[in-house]
Amino acid sequence: MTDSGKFVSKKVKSIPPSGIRRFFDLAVGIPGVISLGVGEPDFVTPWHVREACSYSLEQGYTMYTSNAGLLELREELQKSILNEYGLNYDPISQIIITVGASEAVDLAIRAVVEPGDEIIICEPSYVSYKPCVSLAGGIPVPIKTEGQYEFKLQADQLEESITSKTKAIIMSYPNNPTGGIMTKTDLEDIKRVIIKHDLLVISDEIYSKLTYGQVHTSIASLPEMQERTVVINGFSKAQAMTGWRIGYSFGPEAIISAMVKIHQYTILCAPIMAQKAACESLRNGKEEITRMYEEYDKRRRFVFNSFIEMGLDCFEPMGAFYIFPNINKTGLNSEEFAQELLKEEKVAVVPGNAFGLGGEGHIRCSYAASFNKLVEALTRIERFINKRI
Amino acid sequence: MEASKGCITKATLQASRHNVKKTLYGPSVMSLKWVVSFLPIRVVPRAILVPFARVALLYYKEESIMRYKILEILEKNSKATPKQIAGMLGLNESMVAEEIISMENERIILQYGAIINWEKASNKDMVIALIDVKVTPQRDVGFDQLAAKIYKYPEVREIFLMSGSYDFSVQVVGKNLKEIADFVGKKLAIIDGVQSTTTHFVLKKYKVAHVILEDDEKDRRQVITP
Repeated sequence: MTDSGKFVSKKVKSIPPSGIRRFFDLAVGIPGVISLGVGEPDFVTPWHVREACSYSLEQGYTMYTSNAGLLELREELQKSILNEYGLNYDPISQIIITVGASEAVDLAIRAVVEPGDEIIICEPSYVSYKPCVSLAGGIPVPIKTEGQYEFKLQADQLEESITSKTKAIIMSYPNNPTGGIMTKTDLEDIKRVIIKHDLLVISDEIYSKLTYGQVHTSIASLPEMQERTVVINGFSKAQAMTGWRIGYSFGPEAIISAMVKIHQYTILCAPIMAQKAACESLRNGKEEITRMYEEYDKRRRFVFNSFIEMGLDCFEPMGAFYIFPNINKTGLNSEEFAQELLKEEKVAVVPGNAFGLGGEGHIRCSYAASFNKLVEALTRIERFINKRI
Repeated sequence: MEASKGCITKATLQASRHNVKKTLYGPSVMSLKWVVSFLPIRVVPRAILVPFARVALLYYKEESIMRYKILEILEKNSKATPKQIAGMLGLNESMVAEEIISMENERIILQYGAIINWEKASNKDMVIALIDVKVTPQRDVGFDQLAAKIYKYPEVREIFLMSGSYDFSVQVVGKNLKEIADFVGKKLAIIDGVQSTTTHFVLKKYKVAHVILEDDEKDRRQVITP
């Protein structure tokens, strides 16, 4: 018998499995578990979008689209980007439709990273940036953002991490898992450093429509930034379309066309039915998006207040649908906390250390769960915490 | 559930903070100025009165938005406590509690109930009928008085005045067809002013008050995802 493992590349072998996956294996199959560990909306995709998709199937839209995606979708996106950010992108050459924002992350990284390039990543963050940089031959350089600064990237921190090899920075605000956002003023600060060192920004703004109390600002919308920013977004979160796998990216023509090149040889194109559904969501989805948004906002306040009342240190999340309380007071680390909570009270949360630097000492709770479930989960968490502090 | 129906105007429904500001600096301020300019005694200069009125109006609108948001939560979940509601809306708990009590007193909130799938709950016989009623309103007996004559019967669950080819839509609950037939024949049709009735029996309920009765609300998501 040959050990087939020997065929696997060293590069892939060196990438650690996702911490979330490990915890998933623990949590799955426990009866009666309430999960606050889900990184996707609890809403099903609005009916009008599902209906538009089945109509497109009835009409026979079952073929490939152009590599960059349906032009009608890119044109709708151009309008919505112009409307939201005041930025104009050419639908022909500056917008690409991808299989989820995740693919766009990979494409953007592969389009720019040369072996040995250092790519700065703000952590805690979504789990794919680091492995994608490593797979592309780059060197991920994580920066630890902190609760005391509302998990915002600080200009001096960024300055310190930059070397002659630094090429780009990946940031994701509104942030998963912290719920942190960067306001226009915050972005102005780091913009100076970025321009000084001539860096590219890969800005994953998948939660852009879910900011509370203020409107999202994209770093691309600051003067001089449009030409050095690749923005990544998608339909999964605010539109509740995770399973459709529809994302998009817009940016300077040179980078987008490089991304299209990789995309055409690996993916060819995103599925047409999902693209049709995305068109419908852009055209007629506003009301449903607002309805879900308002629901998240109520839950956000409720969950935040509940954690504060429990006596945990918690930063008020201003975006996405996660809250990231600090659990140091319990004397447990994040992994112990999540495991014991699961065992004792059957509530699944994700240990903060799964999200990289600065995640330890925190747990990520998603409030994309029905209100009744949240009430029950928080009662259980409170009981768990009371035994420990 | 039906309790708060009709108590909220469409205007409040759409109102957001943004809209409040827009209206404030739009027509309402204009009309305020107009009113102020016609005040017989000009003791208080307009420069003071107008901003004051503006603030008062803002307060009033804010309050009605707050009320609307509280009602919206209660309409979906009458078990939500003032503390929970305050948490969701970022308000003070006692303020919410007071507001709920005053809305109960003003009969904005009429009753707290549950949406029940009776078919699933018991084998108790129940028949629901929707009856279209045409009436001829007469002098001194308008629609409202006629409606009162109908809704006072305990069998009547809901009654609406409708536009279109008939006047009242009456929902009646009974144990069986005969009971409903008796109600229509012996009580409803003989009311003075009732011209005709058309009775439709409900065969199956699918959705009530935004809730799908047979909805399989299983969470199909994976337990943990990044």
